[in-house]
Amino acid sequence: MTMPGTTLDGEQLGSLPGDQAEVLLRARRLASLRLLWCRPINMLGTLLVLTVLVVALVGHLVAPYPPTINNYGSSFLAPSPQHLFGTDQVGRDVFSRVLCGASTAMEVVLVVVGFGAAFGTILGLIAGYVGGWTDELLMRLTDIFLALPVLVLAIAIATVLGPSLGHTMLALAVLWWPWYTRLIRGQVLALREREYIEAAKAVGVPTIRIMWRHLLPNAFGPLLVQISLDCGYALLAASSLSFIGLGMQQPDPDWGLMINDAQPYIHSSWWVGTFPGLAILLAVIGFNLLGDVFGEMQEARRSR
Amino acid sequence: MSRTGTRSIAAAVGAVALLSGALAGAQHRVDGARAATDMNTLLVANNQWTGNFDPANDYGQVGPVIFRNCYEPLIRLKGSSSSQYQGVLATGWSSNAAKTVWTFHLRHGVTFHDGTPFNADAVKFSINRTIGLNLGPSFIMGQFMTKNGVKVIDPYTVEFDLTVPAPRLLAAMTSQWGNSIVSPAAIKAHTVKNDQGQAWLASHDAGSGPYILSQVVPNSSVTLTKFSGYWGGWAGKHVGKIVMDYVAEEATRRSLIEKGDRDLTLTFSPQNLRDMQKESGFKIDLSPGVLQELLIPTVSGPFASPLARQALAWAFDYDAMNTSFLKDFAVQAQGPIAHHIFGHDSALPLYHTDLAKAKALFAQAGVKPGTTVTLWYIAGDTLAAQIALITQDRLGQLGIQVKTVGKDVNTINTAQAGNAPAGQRPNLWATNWFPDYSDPVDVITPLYRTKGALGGAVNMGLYSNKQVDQLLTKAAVTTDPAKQQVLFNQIQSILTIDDPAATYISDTSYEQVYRSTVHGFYSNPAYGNTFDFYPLYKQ
Repeated sequence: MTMPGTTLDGEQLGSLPGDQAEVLLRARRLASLRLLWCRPINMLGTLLVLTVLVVALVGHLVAPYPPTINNYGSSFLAPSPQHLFGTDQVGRDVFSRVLCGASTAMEVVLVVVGFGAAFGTILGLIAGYVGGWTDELLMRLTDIFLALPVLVLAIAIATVLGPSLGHTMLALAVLWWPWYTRLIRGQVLALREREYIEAAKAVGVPTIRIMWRHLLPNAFGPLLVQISLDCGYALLAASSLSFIGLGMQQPDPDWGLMINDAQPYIHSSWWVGTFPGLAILLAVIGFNLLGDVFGEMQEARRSR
Repeated sequence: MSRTGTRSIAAAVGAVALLSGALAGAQHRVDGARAATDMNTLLVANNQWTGNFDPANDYGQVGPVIFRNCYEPLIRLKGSSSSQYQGVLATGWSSNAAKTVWTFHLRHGVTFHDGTPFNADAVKFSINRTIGLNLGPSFIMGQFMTKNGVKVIDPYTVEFDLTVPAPRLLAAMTSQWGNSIVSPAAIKAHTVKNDQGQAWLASHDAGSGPYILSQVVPNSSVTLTKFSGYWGGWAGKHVGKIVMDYVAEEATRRSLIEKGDRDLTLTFSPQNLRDMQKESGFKIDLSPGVLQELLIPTVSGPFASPLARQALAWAFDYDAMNTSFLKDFAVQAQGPIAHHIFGHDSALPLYHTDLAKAKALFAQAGVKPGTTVTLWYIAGDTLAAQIALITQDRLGQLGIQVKTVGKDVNTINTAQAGNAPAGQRPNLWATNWFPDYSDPVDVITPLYRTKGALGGAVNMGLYSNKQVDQLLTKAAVTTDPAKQQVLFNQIQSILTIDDPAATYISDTSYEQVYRSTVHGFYSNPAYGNTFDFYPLYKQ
């Protein structure tokens, strides 16, 4: 049993008798998971993200119309039971395009945040654990990247490479890692002086294994919070690039591109841009609320 | 890294900003029905801008607003006519039978804004300056004469000795570009390091028009104030001041005119126009079109063969553009010379959509399904964007993938006028063209004549057809209008049917929108997108 107010981490749990540790872990996981729906605001975040993920997976299958086929005779139709979100300037169904745009959005999020988090984490682990000159070098490099305005540099990269979704993702991915490096390095610095790490070193556990099995799992909580918040940011950044014409290109559905399309028609056909805009808004709010929930989980874990 | 709370709020705010910012267009300061309050000031919103108001320099669409109001030409088009001429600084003119020597009698009692009098020397000086500086508009008169072609006969008579017969010289002289007469004294007083006053004239004027360019705020606005010494006088109703500012976003321009924050604005998509026509408080003026929407192939790669360019013309969906999208605001273009311009051939066959024919022609031309082509258009140009989408859809149905790329207006303009080889150009350009003046030679020469000293300044497709070049040379000096028409019919037939230079999509109108409190408004199709402020008044 632990003393009130003390913190248990994975390694310390390991020192308890097996069944006790198991029960404690399970209870803690359950308590953490309950945070996902225990309050309306948390539930909203969870629901929004789940909805976006489900739509991204099945949007293409349930879309009532093909998202890229023009139907000039029915351009600029207002929302109706036939076209829930109306139609755009070449008669494409906005509802279908919003549904199909979700997979584009999630693809961007997955690639940008996935690459950023993976690369940043590896560098952070190395910098924090190895220390010395390696740490200095990596941190200065991180500082340089942090000093660059992400969106402006992404615009520059995407402009040079030529406008396409792939290039946008590449531009964002190569700029997205420094926060993770800093975050993980900070965590590792705090953890590496712990006794269990010292002990692992003393018995000759290989460095890679120490990083992977002992440091990373204990730094995972803050990482998850950061990832969730970044999903919203990455989506916003990619949409902004599509909005200015550097991201996804016609005729494929993309929320940012759809808002760009709609710009001249906001007075005459408000629906063309409003619905993709709402999709971006709700997805970003969802990811941010979920990030806050993950943050609460961390807090709960610490204070237990 | 700051913690979650602030970042979530920031991100949410960002999302809302993207949504609302995008939808509302560029944010513009709105003072609340400003236009209604000051009846002596006309507030104008322009959709484009320029950094240079020197009439020998600017060849865009904003400079002419200044040229038409702060400067004066010798002659101009009368009212809304595209063929009747009216003397401004000239009171009469004549030519020899060969149309190589033209004499102009000049107006007495005209004073420039700097107080010096207008006379024959000013005409000679102005034409010499424009041709000599050799910038954008220099060819308008430079195509007919050299720097020293103007002879001063007496203080109020000039003679133009041309290097070629110019039966349509008067048409060129009505162009809003390259014909402004400047005060020699003002230019000389502001010449720095032999620049012929260019630096100063970029943001000042040296004309004799009814208004003085009194303030230029770079990339933002200009203010014109009335010139009390104007020879036309100020009897009757006029406005004393005009403020014209730059509002790029169509949605914002619509808000401004609807709320009464501007008196006059221009250029809207048909979708907005249709809605605005149902509203009250302002009037919409639609000048019949000399503005042509085009899909121009670069003559190389997949579009090297005339068959492939014919296929493109058969593949395009004209109804989608003209019936569904533009509706009452355009007609299908019939060859390169728009309706309403002298030389138009109303018997030229029209293309219609025929995908089977297009498919067969592409096959004959060796363009196989699976080919990918690039298409460039000006980002923000609603009509060009629509052409891009339609082309992508139609060629897509034939297995040809079209990659559309929206680029900013300066990049496109530079690329169109540049000398890049075919390999560095897009395969297709969704673009538009209107002539510098109401004349068929001026439609075809810059766009379709072989690139070189004699034309092709914006021959973006690198089109070259020797027969067209020869016919153009002949047509330009043919004095009999009937014989000229025959030559233009031949040219249009080649450019449209035999060896197409473009897919001619729509002859569209210019849209100018003004508040109902503005009176005296008129438009002229040859002076699209500019205004004559002098007859306007608010009541």
